[in-house]
Amino acid sequence: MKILLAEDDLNIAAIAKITLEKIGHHHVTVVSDGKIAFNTILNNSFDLILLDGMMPSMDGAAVLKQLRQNPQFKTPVIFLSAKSQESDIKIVLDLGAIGYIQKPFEPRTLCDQIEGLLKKVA
Amino acid sequence: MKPLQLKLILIMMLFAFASSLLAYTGFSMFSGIKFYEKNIHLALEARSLLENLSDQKISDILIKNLQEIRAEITPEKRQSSFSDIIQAYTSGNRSLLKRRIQIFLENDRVYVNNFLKEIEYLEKRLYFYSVALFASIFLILLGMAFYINSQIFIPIKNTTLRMNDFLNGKYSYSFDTPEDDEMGELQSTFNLMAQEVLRNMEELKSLDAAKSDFLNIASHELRTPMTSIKGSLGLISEGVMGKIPDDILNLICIAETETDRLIRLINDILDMAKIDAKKLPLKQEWSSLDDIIDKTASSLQGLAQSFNVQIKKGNSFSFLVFCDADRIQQVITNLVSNAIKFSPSGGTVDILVEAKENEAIKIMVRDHGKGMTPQEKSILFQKFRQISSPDNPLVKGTGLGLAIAKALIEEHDGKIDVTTKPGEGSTFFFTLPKWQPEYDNTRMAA
Repeated sequence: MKILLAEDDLNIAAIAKITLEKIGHHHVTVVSDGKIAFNTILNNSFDLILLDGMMPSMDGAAVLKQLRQNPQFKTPVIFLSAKSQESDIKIVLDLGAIGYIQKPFEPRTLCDQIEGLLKKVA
Repeated sequence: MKPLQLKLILIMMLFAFASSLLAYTGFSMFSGIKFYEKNIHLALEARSLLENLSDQKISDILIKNLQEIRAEITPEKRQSSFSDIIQAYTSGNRSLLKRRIQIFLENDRVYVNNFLKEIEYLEKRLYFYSVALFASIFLILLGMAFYINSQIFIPIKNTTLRMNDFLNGKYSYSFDTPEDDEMGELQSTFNLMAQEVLRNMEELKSLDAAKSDFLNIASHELRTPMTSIKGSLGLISEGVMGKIPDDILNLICIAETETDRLIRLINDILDMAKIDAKKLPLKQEWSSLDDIIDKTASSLQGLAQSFNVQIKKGNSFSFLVFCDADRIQQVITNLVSNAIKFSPSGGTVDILVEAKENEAIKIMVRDHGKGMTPQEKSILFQKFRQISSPDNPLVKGTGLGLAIAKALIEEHDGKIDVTTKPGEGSTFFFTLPKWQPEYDNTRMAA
């Protein structure tokens, strides 16, 4: 799968990238900023988008909101969210995200969690 | 002197002066009546003496009686004609005496009539006067009551209402134009006090906000690096990055275990800080006790297996309890994991429930470990205190678990405690006040 990972914490992004590539054998593109994420999604095609809730310039919800303005946009979106941002989870689910993964995530279960969420909507 | 006090004292003085004046006038009328009554009495006494005086022999007692009467009768004209009678009596001239008595008694009838008229007049006046007196006293008192009511009691009531509003969170404290008297002084003092309280409240609010910010930032800033460390170590120890030598793997596992412990400690400290700062809101709702205990038990299966301990769920748990299910699960997890760690290999940990009508529901976690001494028991629920277990060096906690459990249970208005004896194991229990049996229909409704 081609995955876009938008996550501003570079260390967490690196771990997630390694996990997804080594365990899940996916191809991962990492961006660390909401605006860049939006532009990258517009100009490339991905099978899955992982969006961090809190990012500089544009948070995850804002990115998804802009993406939704294009009715052609069908790529599944999963949120990465810390427990302290529980109130945001409802917002992004209402925006059409297929689910969320709570941070801090366990590297060894990350791929299973993603697969589980994708199966639910398939 | 203060205006209101001054006004009241003036009114009181005026009232006292007016009432003494009225009382004096009334008293003088009353004594006038007494005077005339006494004179009538004297006239009657004189008449009874004089009527048969001409037949009496001259006696000293009679003369003394006559002189006594003469001394008291008024006016002077009467007195002198009475003296003439006494003179005629002592001289023994009976015919002169009879004549003089006759003249005196005829004249005296007129006097007595006048006295009676005077009394009648005075009595009438006194009657009207009394009515007027009582009416005016009543009116004055009524006026005073109105005055005191409008100047003192109504302002006090208004002030109290404002204060109650303030207490109830409606901060409409300001009295627009406080009067220039004691009541106004009270109101302006209250205004100042209210402003001070509001200022302090603002200050506390901003402090509170700063505390919340700190806790949120601390949560985020502490957890984020821990996530990276744990993730990296996990990837290495899982072998994702390739095969590594056993001795290095050993060190990585130590680092991983200690990272887990540090994450637990951070979570516990932040929980404790939130509890202390009252920033841990409970999401209380009716929850199935059965579900909570099942979830807890299954999440602790791994730990139980590693200690070779069995978790046994006792009697029925078909109850609904009003609580924050996540937090109660946190408490039970803490109690059960402690029980596992302090159980002998091959032992059991029992989870039991006791529900008596009209009492709080009691959830118990019993181990068959070595129990505790009273000294050990006394430090149990204190922060950062933990009981060491020389037999079991794997027992490592943050020393906050039970302190957090206690705080969480107390937030639920419950109690937490332990019964224990050295050599006989320990039973930790907590209570929750709001519960009900879980019937099938309530379950469907929920």
